[in-house]
Amino acid sequence: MPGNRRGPEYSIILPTYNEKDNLPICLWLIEKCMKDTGYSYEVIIVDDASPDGTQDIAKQLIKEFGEEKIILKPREGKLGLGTAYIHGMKFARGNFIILMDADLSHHPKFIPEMIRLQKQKNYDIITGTRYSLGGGVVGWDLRRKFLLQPGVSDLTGSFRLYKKDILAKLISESVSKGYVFQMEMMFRAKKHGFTIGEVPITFVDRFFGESKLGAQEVISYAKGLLYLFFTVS
Amino acid sequence: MATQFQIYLTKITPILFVWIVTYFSGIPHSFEIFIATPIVLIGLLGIYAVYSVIAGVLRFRNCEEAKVELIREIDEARADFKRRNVKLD
Repeated sequence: MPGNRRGPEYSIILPTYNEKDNLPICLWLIEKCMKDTGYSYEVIIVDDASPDGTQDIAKQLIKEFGEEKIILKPREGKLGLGTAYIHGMKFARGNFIILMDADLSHHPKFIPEMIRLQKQKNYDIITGTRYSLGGGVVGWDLRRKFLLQPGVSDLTGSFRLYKKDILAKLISESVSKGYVFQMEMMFRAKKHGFTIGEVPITFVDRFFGESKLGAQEVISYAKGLLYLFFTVS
Repeated sequence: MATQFQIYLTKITPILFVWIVTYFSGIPHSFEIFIATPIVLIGLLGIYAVYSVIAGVLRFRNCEEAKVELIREIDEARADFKRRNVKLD
């Protein structure tokens, strides 16, 4: 199978901003977790002109891991997540796109699981869910089902595997910013009837840098839900 | 395709209709209960929503074991890079 294709099957798009400490570890873990799976991959680093030297580190890593595996596609400034994905997708050779964070909150060990699940039923999207299965999550799902009926337990998650054309379509339709954008993509995916599989993942809060979780996130999330509830058709 | 809000209206409107008809139907009941019931129901819904947000955040999978494993892997990665002479500052 690898002999038939030119280029990798899976393109991992990694948006980065000031990740000079996390990036090497992230790439090392991707290599370690994908090495023996037989799945061919590439990593496209979309760096938004990080002042901390992330791009220099990336170049060292390209020397080490190879230009076929790691590709650096920088941008002129901090331009936002949605456009980072679009930018990365321009260069992606795979038929599947994996989106994840470079800050080690997403562990690459779940990528092979996502790939395996996708192959099982040819899912359009695989999403990593941070909410454990069972127990109090029932209440969480009920609330989401009650308000939004997305059928996906982790709307704001950003660790996902998409078929390339599906992702392109969802990005072109979604207008929100920040991680409400992630919610909107998943919500629209459900509305389109795309098939979505879930892989439970563990989420370790930022090692180097400020935490993402807090009251601000809960408020933004609530606002995002209301926006989706009233406007997305 | 409709927004969720519109879908909601199509479900809520008949219930509202039944509710109002009941009020005028002559079945004995008090005005206070008529007004209070929807408010109480919405209040309960609000409490449930807040509860489930909090419960969801608490059950967030932020496992200690994952953190420990990650720390170990970070050390392993750094040692490996050193061995391979990769300059990471």
